[in-house]
Amino acid sequence: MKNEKRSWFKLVFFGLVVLLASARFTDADFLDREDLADNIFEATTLDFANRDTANLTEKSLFFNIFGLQPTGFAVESVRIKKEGNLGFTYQVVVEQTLGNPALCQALQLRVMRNWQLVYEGSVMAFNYSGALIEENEWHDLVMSLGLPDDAPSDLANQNCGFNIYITTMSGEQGSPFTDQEVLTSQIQTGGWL
Amino acid sequence: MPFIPKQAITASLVRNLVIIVGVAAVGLASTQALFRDVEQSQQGVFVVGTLDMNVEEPSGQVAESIVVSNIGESTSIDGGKTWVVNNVGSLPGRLTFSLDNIRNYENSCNEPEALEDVTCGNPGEGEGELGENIETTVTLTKGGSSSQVITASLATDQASSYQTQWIDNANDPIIPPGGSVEVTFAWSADEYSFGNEVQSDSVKFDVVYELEQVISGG
Repeated sequence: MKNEKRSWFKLVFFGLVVLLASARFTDADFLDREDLADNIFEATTLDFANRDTANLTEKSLFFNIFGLQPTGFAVESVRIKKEGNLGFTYQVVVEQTLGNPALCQALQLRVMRNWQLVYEGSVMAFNYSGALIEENEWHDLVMSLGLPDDAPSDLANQNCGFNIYITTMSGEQGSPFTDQEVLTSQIQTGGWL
Repeated sequence: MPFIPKQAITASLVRNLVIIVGVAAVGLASTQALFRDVEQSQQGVFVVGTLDMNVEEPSGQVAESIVVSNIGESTSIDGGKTWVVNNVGSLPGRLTFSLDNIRNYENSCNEPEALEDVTCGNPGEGEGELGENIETTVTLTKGGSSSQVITASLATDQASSYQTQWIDNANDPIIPPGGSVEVTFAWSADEYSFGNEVQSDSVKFDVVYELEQVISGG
């Protein structure tokens, strides 16, 4: 019993020592604090997608033609849809990825937007620009690709691969954000005399 | 029957009693003030000082938080905000400035961002890259002279740097009662400092002012 009392005494004494030691470093000063909470910097977005004009799913494969003949053609379409906050201008260009350059040059492209012809000529020279500014705005491009009537026979049984690059361009204010989408195409000609 | 027997009254007893009474009389007489005056002050009060500050816009309006949106709309961003800190108490105070609770959010990723940034949480606290691309400075103006005391970014791990640099560079800014100082918080980011990796990101933080009583020798 006596030992128990002594232990309690030691404990209380030790506690007091700790309390007093720490009290030495505390301030009893007045303090006023002002918080300006939830300051915020937030970035916007720039984004678009190539979508199938029928089911609106994302689209990256475009023309895929086998056995193309002179006078023959195929039709494809794409919806270029703004999906970010920032409006932008875009540019469409074509680059060959594989195959016979002469065939690629010979392929004729017609492009319509809102059923208005906006381009007619060699697919390799296709260059088009547009602007998507409003929320959820889109452009539907309908394209036909074919061989002219007078395609020489040395283009028979050849192939041409090309990509259609759709790239945002910096506007007047010069956003550092960019986006680029690609439509991949592959063309193989058949045989003819 | 007498209270004290007659045979107990001796000459020495009488002498001792006379001495005791005599000493007591001299003692009492010597400790008595002959003149006495009492003045009572009825206006004596203890007054506790006050420590109080307010933070306001230079126009005198209540200070508002910083809101900068649509970052990425133009090539670069820059701006600033000035607060006036007034000591409206009766005691001098030492001012400290700090940024607390810096939170960088990813806010998910769109396709262009995902091509450059593998962290795409929503909100993705701590995963955002916007704050590390925004450089800030804090300038203290006191008594007509200004000095830049802090340079740091809004990266999450920079919070302690604001406090440390203030302590090191603000030169013990004490505001007397009725006095004031101006604190300007400026931000900037140039076109080469960020790209698609910050799309949709945000950074939030609290600006904290503390005015601590200045005690003698403290």
